[in-house]
This record gives sequence, C-alpha cells and structure tokens, in this order.
Amino acid sequence: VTAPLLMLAALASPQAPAQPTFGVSVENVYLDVFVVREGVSVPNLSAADFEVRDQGVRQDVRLAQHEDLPLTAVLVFDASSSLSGQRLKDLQAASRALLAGLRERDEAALVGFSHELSVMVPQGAHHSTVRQAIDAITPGGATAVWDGLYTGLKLPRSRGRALVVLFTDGEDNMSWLSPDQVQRVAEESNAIVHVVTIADVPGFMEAPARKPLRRVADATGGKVWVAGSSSDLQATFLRILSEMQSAYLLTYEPTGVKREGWHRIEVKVKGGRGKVRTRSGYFIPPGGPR
Amino acid sequence: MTLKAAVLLHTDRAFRLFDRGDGGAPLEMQAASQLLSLMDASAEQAFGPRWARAAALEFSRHGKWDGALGVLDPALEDHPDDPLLLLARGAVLESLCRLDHALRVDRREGAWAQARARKPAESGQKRARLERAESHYRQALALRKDLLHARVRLGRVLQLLDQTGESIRELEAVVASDPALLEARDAYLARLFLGYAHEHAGALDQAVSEYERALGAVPDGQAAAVALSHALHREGRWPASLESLQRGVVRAGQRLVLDPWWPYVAGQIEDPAELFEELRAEVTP
Repeated sequence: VTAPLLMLAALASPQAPAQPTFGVSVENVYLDVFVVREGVSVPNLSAADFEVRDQGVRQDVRLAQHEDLPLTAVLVFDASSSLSGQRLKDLQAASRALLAGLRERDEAALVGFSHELSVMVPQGAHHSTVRQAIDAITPGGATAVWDGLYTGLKLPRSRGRALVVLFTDGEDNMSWLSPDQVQRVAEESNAIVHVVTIADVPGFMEAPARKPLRRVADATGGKVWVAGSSSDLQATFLRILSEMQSAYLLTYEPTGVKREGWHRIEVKVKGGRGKVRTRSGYFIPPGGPR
Repeated sequence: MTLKAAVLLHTDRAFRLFDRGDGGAPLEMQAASQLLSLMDASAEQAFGPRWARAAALEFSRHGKWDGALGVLDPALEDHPDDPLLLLARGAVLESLCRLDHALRVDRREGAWAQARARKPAESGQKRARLERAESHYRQALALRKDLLHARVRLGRVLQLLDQTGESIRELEAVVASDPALLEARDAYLARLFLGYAHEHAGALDQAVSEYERALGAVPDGQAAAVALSHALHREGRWPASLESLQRGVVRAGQRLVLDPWWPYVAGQIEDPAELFEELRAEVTP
C-alpha cells in the first residue's frame, strides 16, 4: 500500500509540522508500493526496477528505507451496538496483536465511533494506552462509519507513513458525510486505508452499501480484509502490518507537472517481475493545504 | 380514565416484550388498540392521536418501522387532519428511506443478491416514500403553518428529491422565523441542510457560514462540526478543518444536548418517553 507523503525538508526534523505544509520549495512524494508475484512479495528490487509516472510524466525515483519514516497507525473502531460479545473480544485481541507489531518509534491512535465520534487515544500516546482503551470499549448506539473514517483520516500528523485501519461489521446509518466525500479526503491524505470486516454470511462485501468501503481502500492502495470468522482477525491484523513492512517505499520530487490538483500515479516494475499495488494518486488543493 | 390506563398498560407491556424479543408483543398492541376503540368519541379525540404518536415514535426508536406505520395508519384514518400525526408519518417514511436497507441487510442471510435484484425497484420505492413524506409535511403545514419542524423536514426532503431551489426557500423561511418560536433544534437542522445545499452547489464559503451558524444554535452538534471540518478541508484550510473536527469530537460522552441530527435520522420528532409520561400523568390519580 502506498502513502504519498507530501513532505518537506522538515522530514528529519524533530519539530515536524502538525499538518502537511507546502510553504517551501522542496516537496517529496512517498509511495508505499507492494510488488507481488503469484501471491508472494517480490524481494530485492532496486529503484531502477521501478518506473513511476506522475500525470504521465516519468519521475526520478529513489528507494527510501522504512526506517527513515515512522509509521502512524490509526485504529478506527466501530463501537456500535452490533459489535458485541465474541466479535468484540476477537477484535480486541487482534488489535493487541497489531500494536505489539509496531516498533517503539511508530505511533498509534484510536478513534471510536458509534453515532458519536471519539478520539479515544490521540496520536503520540504510548502503545499501552491505546491497548487499555481498546480493552475498555463498550459497544452501543448507531453507526457512523464514514464520519468515523473521516476522523481517522484527519488525525495523523504528516511526519510518518500513515496507516488507517477501519474495523466495521455493519453498514452506515448515521454519518453526515457521504462515501464519496470521505473517499476524496482519503485520496488527498497520506494514509493507506485498510478495512477489516467480518463476513458472517456469504457475499457480505458484495452488498451495494459496502462497495464504497472497497473503493476507498483501493484508492489509497489498501485492501478490504474479510475475515472468514472473527477468530481470523488476529492473523488479519498481523498480515496488514507485515505487508506494510514488506512494501517498497519509493520517493520522488515531482517534476514537470502542475503542482495543484489531482495527480494520477502509475507505477510499474520493469520486466514484468511482479504485480504492483499502490495508491492511484494524490491531490493538492488550490493554494495547497494551508 | 380506566380505559386510558388499560391502553397504556398494554402498550407498556408490548414494548417490554419487544425489548425481550418476545412474540407476544403484537397481541398486547392489538389489545391496546381495541381498548382505544371502546372509548367515546370525545375521549378518543383527546387521547388517541397522542397515544398513536407516542407509540409510533417508540417503535421508530427501535427501528420497527412496520410497527410505527401500523399505529399511525389507523390513527390517521380516524384523524386525517392531525398535523402531528402527519408529521410523524412523514418522519417514519423519511427514516425508512435511509435506515431500512441498512437494518435489513445486516440480518438476512444472502440478502445481498436479493438486494441487487431489487435495486431499481427500491430506488423507485425510496423516491415514492420521499414524495409521500413531502406530501405529509405539506398537509401538516397547511393545517399548522407554525409547525417549523415540518418545514425543516420538508426542506430536507425536497433536497433529497433534487428540488434544491424550493428546498432552500423552505429552509430559509425556517431560519427567518420569529426567534421566540424557533427551537434550537430546528435552527440547527435548517442551517445544517442549508450548508449541505451550498456545499453541493460548490459555494463553500456560504456552506462554511451556514455550518458555523448551525454550531451557534447547538454548540455541541457533532454533525455540523464534521460538516464544517469537511467544507474547510475542501477549501484547503486544513488546520481550521482539523480544529473544527476536534471541537466536534472532544465532547464525546459529555454532551449536554444531543446532536439533533441523530434523532432526526431516527425519525424522532419528539421524545416518546416524554409523551408517554404526559399520558400517564393524566391517568394517575
């Protein structure tokens, strides 16, 4: 999965800005790129193996090290009344596994949503605080999936690679924002969105109301993970992290393209050495984020 | 007095059984309705519509739309000119459009395939429901033009029916009402819906202004804070957008006033608990 982190020279600075800023001349796009062949990650590729086009214009890319950028994992939890009993217990166990997989320098945050939104643990707290908050979740109320995801997308500060993991077992019934509105925000963000859901019945994700979840995940280079049963969730979370850590982190300074507006990104691996999954683009609003 | 008490007793029992998932609940509601029909005309006139409204709102609160319509329809046959019954029925139809599908597909195995097959029919059904809701709100307003919540809902339904110009006129009429008569809830919702109209027309500055005014009416309103955050985000004012969002979520669990958007979606034109309390007080010696 990919995160175009539109970042500045401040990348290495300990005083990173709280929001993406475009006030200086140097801007880098960061992309998480997954290369898979026959279901297995393809290792040992170099920057020269990739061809990246921004708005159709070929870019000069280099391979950044994962260690260069910490990861910010925002867990967006459906805490509505439909999530209770064993489902909740399994989710809590899975999220503990996700947190255990984070490095010390990675950051985590927790957003809970029913009809009401809550930043249960803001970014920057210790992982154990997130773990305790997850264990204390009490389900109840209606479901505002899209407003919850919007909150999760807005939360991460820009100094790291952002991973937003949305867990929901139901359909939205209370959001103010529409799926299209949130998708656009997701495309503009530097976050990779994964959706984890439980499939209690056949064809669960084929329901028309759930298609927008898949669209958001696809647009950011993420995936929808349908756990066959709630007990699969722990393995699912670990798979997401492991996949994130196996991604190639490509970076480039956009050249030859207009700065503002939607930037369509195409990434290929030369010589057909694997299938690429990455985000479809990024967006800079008029005037840039202020 | 005794008949009213008996109606309320059976109604209470019905909702307790519903809560427990007990199949005997409909029989209790039937008993309540039969007792109601035994009242003399003037007693029924004073009690029946309010009971029906309270029961329908309680059904709606549980997402039991059939139950709500099952109470409202006979009540409206007997009292076709009751504006609050018309408003309640419109609200149920409006909620059905948004919530019915979501509730149904979560509970029925294999419902997705059926949902796909039903899609065109459902789309038509949704529009028909919205048009009926519109008609109910118009009738209610013809009977009581000061019923501002009906005008708010009329404005929203017109918006959903793509009649944007007329929707804006109705919503602006709400916010221009005598402040002494305009409840904070209705001012909030009207501003929220006006913001939506402007945002979808691309007039972000106006949308921001309306969302801010909505928050002026109900500072704890989460939907308006999210809406404002999103409009600011679209304007590229990202720090302000984040600030608005944070303002909206920081009060989670501590709100003094519920966001009026939540009961709006659930079709709650009033609090059924308060209505039932009022009715009970009348039969308490």
